[in-house]
Amino acid sequence: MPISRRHAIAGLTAGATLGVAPRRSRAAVTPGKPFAGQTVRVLVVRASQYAAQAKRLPKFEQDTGIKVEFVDVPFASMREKLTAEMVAGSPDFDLATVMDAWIPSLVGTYFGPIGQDLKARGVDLTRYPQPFLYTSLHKDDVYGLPTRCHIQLLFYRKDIFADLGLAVPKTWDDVVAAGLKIQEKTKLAGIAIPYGRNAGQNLMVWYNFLWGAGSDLFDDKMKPMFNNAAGLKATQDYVDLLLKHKICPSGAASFTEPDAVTSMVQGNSAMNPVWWHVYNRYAMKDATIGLDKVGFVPLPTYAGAEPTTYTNTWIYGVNKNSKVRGAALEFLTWISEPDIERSILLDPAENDVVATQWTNLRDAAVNERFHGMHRTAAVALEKTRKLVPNIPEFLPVVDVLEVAMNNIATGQATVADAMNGAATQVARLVRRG
Amino acid sequence: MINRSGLSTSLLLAPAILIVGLTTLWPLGFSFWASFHDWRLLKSPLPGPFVGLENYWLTLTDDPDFWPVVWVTVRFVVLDVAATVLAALGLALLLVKTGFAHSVLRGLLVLPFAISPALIGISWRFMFNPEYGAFQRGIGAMLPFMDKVDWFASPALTMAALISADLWHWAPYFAFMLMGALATVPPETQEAARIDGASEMGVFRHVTLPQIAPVLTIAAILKTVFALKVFDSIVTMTSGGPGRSTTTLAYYAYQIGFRDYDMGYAAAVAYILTAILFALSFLYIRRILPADR
Repeated sequence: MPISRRHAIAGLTAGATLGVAPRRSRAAVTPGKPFAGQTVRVLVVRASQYAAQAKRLPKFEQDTGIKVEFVDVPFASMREKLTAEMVAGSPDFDLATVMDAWIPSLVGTYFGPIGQDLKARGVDLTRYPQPFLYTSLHKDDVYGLPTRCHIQLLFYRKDIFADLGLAVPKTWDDVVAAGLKIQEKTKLAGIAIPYGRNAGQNLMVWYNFLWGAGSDLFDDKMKPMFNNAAGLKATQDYVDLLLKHKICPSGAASFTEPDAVTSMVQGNSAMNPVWWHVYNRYAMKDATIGLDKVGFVPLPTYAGAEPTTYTNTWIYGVNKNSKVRGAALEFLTWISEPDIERSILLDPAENDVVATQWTNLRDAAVNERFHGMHRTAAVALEKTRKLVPNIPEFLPVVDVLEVAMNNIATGQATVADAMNGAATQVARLVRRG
Repeated sequence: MINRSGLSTSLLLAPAILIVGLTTLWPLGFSFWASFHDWRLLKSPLPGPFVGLENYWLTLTDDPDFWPVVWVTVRFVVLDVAATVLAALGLALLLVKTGFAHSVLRGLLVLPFAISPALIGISWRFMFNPEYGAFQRGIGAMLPFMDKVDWFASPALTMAALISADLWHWAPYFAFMLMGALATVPPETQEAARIDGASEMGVFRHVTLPQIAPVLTIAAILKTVFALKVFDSIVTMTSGGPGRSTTTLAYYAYQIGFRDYDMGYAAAVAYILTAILFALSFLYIRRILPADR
């Protein structure tokens, strides 16, 4: 879906009519400790970022008198946990982290609107890139704040590119040319892309092909359009990397995202378009392929088109049944301050790359530490004009498309047959609602 | 009037009845009730309106994936049950003899059965990886034309890998069951056949096999039930792919229920599977508890 005028306005609405207020002082809290003695329970996905946040809680607890308890749940169990909380109408957790695709089903059922509260607290929402903030906006209100966001980058073996005199790819044609050259001159596969089935991972790079070719998942009337001429071309180009040009590893047709990452980390592939947090794999002290050999750039696109990135965004939402809503909002406001995020990014004891706010994405010290990765991310986010739809039916839609893509990649269907069949199924899903 | 002994019996049974009721009967009844309602968690935490048989009707007539999934399930069950029971029978015949080596091997046989199916799925997926998988390397060394073959990109090979993992897991269990059956075969009957000039194959086919046939049937029925329920190894090994070529009914119901959150629809799919399982369980109970006993 393009970032429509409505969405852009909604984002700015959240920032403007709901509260483009002067920035609060750094890590500000409400004076007078009005919520002292209350306990805020926070459900987070297990990630180093939240472990780092937890280390910073004593300062907040000292300043506010609020006790904060983090309960972490592995990613694989997180959705079930949230669903159980939602169905039970439980007040057990006051705040919860939720991934973008799960948000629509929790809006109003588990999370309550917080736009007016953010306005009252002077939270400036324009500090977030629109692709991150977009997932929080529903029903003309705000239902959370971005907390853990990922963008895609093309990781590439800069040592091999240098040895072979190859330029860093800017277009998908460049990727094909570089991949063929690398396979001719080395034992590495050109580019590791996952075409197998696992939580829609075989679509995450494809979205960029789709957008770059001028197509999208749906038109303005929510009718599938990924099977129009531009969509079919994008899909053909995407699978041609595997089937025609054969520049992917031998197992790519069944690769999941971790398989593709492992292929490059182990030195078997020369390029890998994937989330920026994979940086950590190359930054490990005992990494076979370290940062001295790996570079990153925005994802390639079609010649003449702007680069795009599919984003993965987690937000902090406030449970509508929370019995300590004021304290929960106090914590949300504090933990969302850019300086908290920056302190984690620059903490030598941490290695988490997540930055959700413009100031940190463009911060000189942050970029120095991470070799300019966040500036690269900021460029991709500035150019991103299309996003996946914010609808409850998105996960079933992903499943249909994932199966179609896997059928094409494994030679069980042609691009046209698979995509036209998928369009019929997706239309059925959207119609059923 | 309840006498003292009857009362104490009831009191002693009450906790068990309560637990079974809460953990089995209530969920079963509630999900059956849900299958007649439009209940989509994406929209409401509470079940929606009564829709009669609509969920069943949509499943059977309007769902483009349902019948292919049924076909995948049938194929998986038939091949898996046949392979597992045959392998178990082979193992039982080999290990029924006494001796130190046989005892050690029987002990080792417990190991696959003791491992979680999810772990087996993850391990087998890892071992079939074309870049670093141990199976892949071994198969590639023995059969060079299979080197670099992506097992999970081929529906037939994926099904073969899935069945082989399931066989590895279950065959020992059924081998033990069949060893027990073989131990009950009177040796005199086999000796008599040999004295009459029967070959070893003839003894097995005409003397041993008929005597273990009831246990073999029960093993096949039980394995059919287990195969219909297979879930963990599909989640961890194939995710139902490539395409939907290894998506079975149980996994499909899970996806509709816990990915799409269409609980009413998922309950209908699950009840279709339950009906099949119920029929097989009925058959199984009839086998082990004949009416004349």
